[in-house]
Amino acid sequence: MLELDDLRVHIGGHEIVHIEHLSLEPGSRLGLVGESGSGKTMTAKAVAGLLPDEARVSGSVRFNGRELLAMNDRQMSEVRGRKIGFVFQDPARSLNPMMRVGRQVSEAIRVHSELPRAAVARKVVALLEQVQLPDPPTLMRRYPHQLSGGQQQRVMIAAAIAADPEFLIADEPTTALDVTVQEEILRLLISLSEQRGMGVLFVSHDLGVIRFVCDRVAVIYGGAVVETGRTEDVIAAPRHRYTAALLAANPGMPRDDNFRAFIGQRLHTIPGSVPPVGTFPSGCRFRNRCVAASEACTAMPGVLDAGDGHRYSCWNPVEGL
Amino acid sequence: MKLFQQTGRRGRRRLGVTLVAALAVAGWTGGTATARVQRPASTADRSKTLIATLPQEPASWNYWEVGANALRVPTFYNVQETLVEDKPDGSIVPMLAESWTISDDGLTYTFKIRTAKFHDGSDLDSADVVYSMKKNAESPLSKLSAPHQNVASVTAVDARTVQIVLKQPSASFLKELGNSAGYVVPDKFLEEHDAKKEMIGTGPYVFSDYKPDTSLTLKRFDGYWGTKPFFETIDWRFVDDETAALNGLLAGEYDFVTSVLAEGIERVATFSKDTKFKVLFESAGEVSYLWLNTTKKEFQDQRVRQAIAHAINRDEAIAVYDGYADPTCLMVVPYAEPYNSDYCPYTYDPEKSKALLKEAGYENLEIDYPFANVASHPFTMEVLTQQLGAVGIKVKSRSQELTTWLDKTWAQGDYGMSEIRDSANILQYGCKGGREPLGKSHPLCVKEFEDKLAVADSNTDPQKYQAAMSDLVKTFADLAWVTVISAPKVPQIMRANLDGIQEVRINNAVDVRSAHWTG
Amino acid sequence: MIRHTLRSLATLLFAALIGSIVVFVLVHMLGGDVVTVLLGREAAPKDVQFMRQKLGIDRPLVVQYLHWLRGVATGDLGTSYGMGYDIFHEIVRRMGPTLILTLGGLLISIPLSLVLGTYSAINAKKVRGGIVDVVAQVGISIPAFWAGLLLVLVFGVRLGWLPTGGYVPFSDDPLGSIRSMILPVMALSLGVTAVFTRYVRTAMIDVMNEDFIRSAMARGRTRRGAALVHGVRNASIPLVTVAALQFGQLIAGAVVIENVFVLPGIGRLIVTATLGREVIVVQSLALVIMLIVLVLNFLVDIAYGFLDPRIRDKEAANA
Repeated sequence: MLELDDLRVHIGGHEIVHIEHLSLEPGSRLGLVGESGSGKTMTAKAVAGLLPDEARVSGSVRFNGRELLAMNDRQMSEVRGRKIGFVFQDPARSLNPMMRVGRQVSEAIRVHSELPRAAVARKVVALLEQVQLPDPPTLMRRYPHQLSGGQQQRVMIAAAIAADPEFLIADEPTTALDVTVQEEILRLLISLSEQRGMGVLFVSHDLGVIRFVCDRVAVIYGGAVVETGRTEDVIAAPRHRYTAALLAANPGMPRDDNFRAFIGQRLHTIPGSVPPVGTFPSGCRFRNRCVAASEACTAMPGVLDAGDGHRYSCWNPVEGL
Repeated sequence: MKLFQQTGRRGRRRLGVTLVAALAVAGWTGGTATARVQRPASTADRSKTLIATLPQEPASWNYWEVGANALRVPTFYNVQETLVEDKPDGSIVPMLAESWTISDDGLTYTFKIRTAKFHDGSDLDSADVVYSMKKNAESPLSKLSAPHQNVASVTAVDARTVQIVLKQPSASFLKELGNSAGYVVPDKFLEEHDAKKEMIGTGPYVFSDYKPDTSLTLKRFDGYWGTKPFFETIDWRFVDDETAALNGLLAGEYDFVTSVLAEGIERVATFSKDTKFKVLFESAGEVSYLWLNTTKKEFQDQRVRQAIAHAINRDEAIAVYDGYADPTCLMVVPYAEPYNSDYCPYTYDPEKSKALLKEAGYENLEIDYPFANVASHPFTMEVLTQQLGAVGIKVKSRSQELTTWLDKTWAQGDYGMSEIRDSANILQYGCKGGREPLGKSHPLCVKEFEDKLAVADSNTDPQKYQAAMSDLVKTFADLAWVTVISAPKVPQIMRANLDGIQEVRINNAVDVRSAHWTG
Repeated sequence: MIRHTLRSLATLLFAALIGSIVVFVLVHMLGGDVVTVLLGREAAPKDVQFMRQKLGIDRPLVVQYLHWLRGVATGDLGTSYGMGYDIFHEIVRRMGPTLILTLGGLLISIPLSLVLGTYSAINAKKVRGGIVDVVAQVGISIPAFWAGLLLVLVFGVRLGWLPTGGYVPFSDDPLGSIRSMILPVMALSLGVTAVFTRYVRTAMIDVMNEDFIRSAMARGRTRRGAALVHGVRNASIPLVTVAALQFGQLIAGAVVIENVFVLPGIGRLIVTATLGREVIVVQSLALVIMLIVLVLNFLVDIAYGFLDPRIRDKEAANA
C-alpha cells in the first residue's frame, strides 16, 4: 500500500507538486497523466526519493505504513529496488554504458541479498527470460549499446523487478520507443504486474497508454491531482474541465482493447499551454485556460465525489453526459 | 621551454631561500640549524670516508682540454700532481721534483725527479715529465700552455733528471709549474687513454669511480710516494643546488659543503653559530671586478672611466656576499700575494663621479651590461646598476646563461661593461699574450702598463719582483679600465670535527690530503 | 587497420624529427657551444677553432644535423662531445630514476585522486567536499620545488627519517633505493594528484548527473555506492587522457624534482646537456621524449578501447 498525503515539492521557492492524497493498492495499476510540466515525473521521483538535490519535500509518503520521507539515503536505499522498483523513460541513458547487462540486472539482487554468485547468475537468466529476451546467457555478457532500444527497456524492467519489489514505478517507460515495441513493453508490464501481484504507478502523458495499462487514473495539472477515479469512469464521464479538455482534444479516443487504436492520443492540442513554473494562477490552476472559468475559480476548489472513488476538484464541473 | 628562462629560475631560488629562512625562524630547521635526530652513521660507519659536495661538474675529466674549475676542485693535488708544489703561504716546495737548481742567468731549471708510482702501476721517470711538459705547452688552455711559451727546450738529462731552458727569466715560472702548467701524467697518456673518462696521476688518491651527475669517488692510493692521507675514500657528490647541499649537511648526509656561492649565503650565519658545524672562509683565490669595453668611444676618455670607478661603493657591494668579502681596488690574485696593498686611486665619491661625467660631457651615459645569471653575478648586477644609476649612468642590463655569456660577452666581446670573478694573474692582462677580456678582441694596449708588464716577471730578485708587481697592479688600477670591487671569501661549511681543509685553494682545488676527523 | 597504424606511426616519427630540429636550432640560438663550455675563459680563438674542428662542430649545421640523423636511422644516437659517452646508453641509464619518479608519481596520484575527487564530488555541496576542493586548488598552486623543499626540511632535516637527496640504484641497495625515492615521488605526485583530483571531481559530478546513476540508486544503491560502483569507472576515462597529456608536465616536474633531490635522471640530463651545449644529447633527448609522449598517446587510444566497450566496438567495426 502506497499512500501520498499533502505531498509538496518545492524547487527554487516554487511549489512544483502539491498532492493532497493519492494511494495505490497492492497489485493495482495507477496511471498518472498530464502534460509535460504538470509535475507527474516529480511526483514519481518524490516517492522514490530521487529528486534533485535542490528540491525540498514535505508531507507524507507512506509505504506499508512506513514513512519514506523521514528516511535517510541509507534507509531509503533498502526500500528502493527491494520494495519499490523503477523503470525510467530513456533506457539508453538509464543503463551504464560501461557495465555488462548482466551486472546491471543483478545489481538489485546483489545489493539486497547475499546470494552466491551462481544463484545470482541463474536468477538473472530467469529474469531475462521473464522479460522475453532471447538467449539470456549470451545477452547478459553484452553491453547496453549492443542492444536495441526495446531490448534495453526490457533489461531495465528485468533490473527493476530483480529483487521482487511490491511496487513498480514506471516513468514514461515507452516514450522513447517506436509503436510496435511500445505495445510489447506495455503488455510485458501488465503481465508482470498480474503474475507477481505487483502494483504499478505508471506515469505518462499519453492517455491512450494509461487507458491500456491502468485500472485507475489520476489526472495531474499544475502539480495537483485534479481528477481521479477508475480509468473507464474518468474517460467515460470526465468531471474536471481539464480532463474534459484532454478528451475533447482527442476525440478519436477509441474504447476497444486494440492497442494500436489507443496510442498516439497526445495531449498537445489543448488551447494554450502549461504555464512556466511559478506562474500558475491562484485558486484553480487551470482557470486561465479553462472555457468555463468563473469568478468562483479564483478560490481553490474543494474535492468532490462522483461515486466509486471518482473524485475531482472543480467549481464548474462538466455535468452528466 | 622553462630551462631557458633563467631569470625565472633565479626567482625560484630566491623564493626557496625565503622559504628556508621562514622555516628557520619558525624553528623547523632548529634554532641552531641542527637536525634533531643524530644519525650514528656520521662518525662510526664512515669514519674513513669523507662525503663532500661540489657545486659543479666538469664536461669531461680531460685535464688537457677542460678549463673549468670544476675539474680541478676535486682532483688537483689529490689525484694529479705537478712538478713542484705551490703552498698556500706562497712558497714553492718539492713535489714530483724532489729538488731543483736554477742557473744564475735564471734561464736553466734542472729538476731531480723523485721515485714515485702512477696509479696505473707504472714508475715515474723523466720521460713522463718531458712528455707532460710538452703536452701542457700544446694545450688549448692558456692555464696549461701560456707559461710554456717562454720555454726554449725540455730535455731528459737522464732517467731522473729533467732540464728546462727558458727564453727569458721569469719570476713566476716555478710557481706556474706548481699549478696547471706543471701537470705530470704517464708518457703517451693522452694518446693511449681516454682522458675524458679517466685520470692517471701520482697523487694520494686514485680516480676510482665516476657516476655522471651523481658522484666521483676517490680511493686512497697504496703506492703513494708521500704521507698517506687519513681518509680512505673521498666521495665527491655533485649537488649544484645549494639549498639541497646545505639541507643534506644538516641531515648528516654530507660532511662538507665545499662552496656556498649564491642563495646559500644567507644561511652561513646560522651555520657559524652552530657548534656542530664549522665555517671556513676560503680566502679569495678570486677577485670580482667590472671592466669596460676598450673599443667603445665613450670609455676612451679617462674621466668617464674614473667616474665609473668613483661611483662604486665597495662596502655596499660586498653585501652581495653577506659581507663575506674584502673590498679591494687592486688586481692581486691570490689576494694574499705580498705585493698587495690598500692602494685605491678611485674611492667611492658620487659627487666627483658626477662632476667628471659633466666635465667629459657624458651626463647621459648609457652602458650595455650583459651579466651571467649564475652565482653572485645577478646580485652584483643589481648593486652596480643601482650605484651607477645614482650618478646618472643608465645601465642596460641583459641576463645571459653562463655559456651564452662566455660566448657572446667574454669571447665575442658584445658588451659595454660586465662583471666577473676571476683568478687570473695580472700578468695575463697584457696587450699581446693576453686573455679575454681586455685581450684579443678588445685589447688593452697602454704603453705605460705594457712596459711595466714586460719587465715585471723577468725580475729574478724577489724583492725587485715584488716592487715591480706592486707598481704594475697600481698602474692597472689607475687606468680604470678595470675596477676591482672585492675579493670574495667563499664559505666552506663542514662538520665541526673535520680538520685540515685549506683556507687557500691552490689552482681552485679543495685539497683533502691532510683532512681528518678530530676528537 | 595496418595501413592506418603505419600512417600514424610515420606521423609520429615525422613529428618527433621536426621536434628534434626545433630543439637543435633553439640550442644553437642560445649562443656558445660545447667548446666554450670545455675550454672556459682560458681559450684563445685558434684553440677554440682547433677544438671545434676536433669535435666536428665547425661543419655547417645542416651537415651536423644530417650526420646525427643518419646515425639515428641506424639506431645510433652518437656520443656526447664532452665526456664521450654513448648517448643512447646514457638516456637508458637516466631513465631509471625518472621512470621511478614519474611512474611512482602516477601510481600514487591516480588512485589517490580517484578517491579524493570522488569524495569531493559526492560531497560537492557539503563543507567536507569543499575542503578537498580547496586543498586540491592549493596543491595545484604549490610549485613542485617548493613542495620538495618542504618535504626535505620536514622529513629529511627535521625528522631525519629519509635522505634529503641523492639516488641509490635499486641493484645496489633495494631498501635505500626506495627510501631515496619516497620524498621525490611525494613531491612530484602532490601537484599531479591535485590536478587529477580536480579532473576526477569534475568528471564525477558530470557522471553523478547521468541517468544511470539514478537507475543504480533506484535499484538500491546509496548515492555513495552508485558513485563508487558506476561513477568511478566512467570518470576514470577522462583521467586516462589527462594522465597521458600530463606526461609532458610530469617530465617538466621531474626536471625540477630531480634538481631539488639531486637525482641523476632524464630531467637533470636535459638541464646539464643544455647548459653544457651538448646539442646532440639535447636533440636526442627531445626525440626520445617526444617519441615516448607520442607512443603514450597511441597507447591511450588503445586503452580507451579496453576501458570503454562502445569505442572498442566502433574500432572493431572499422577494422
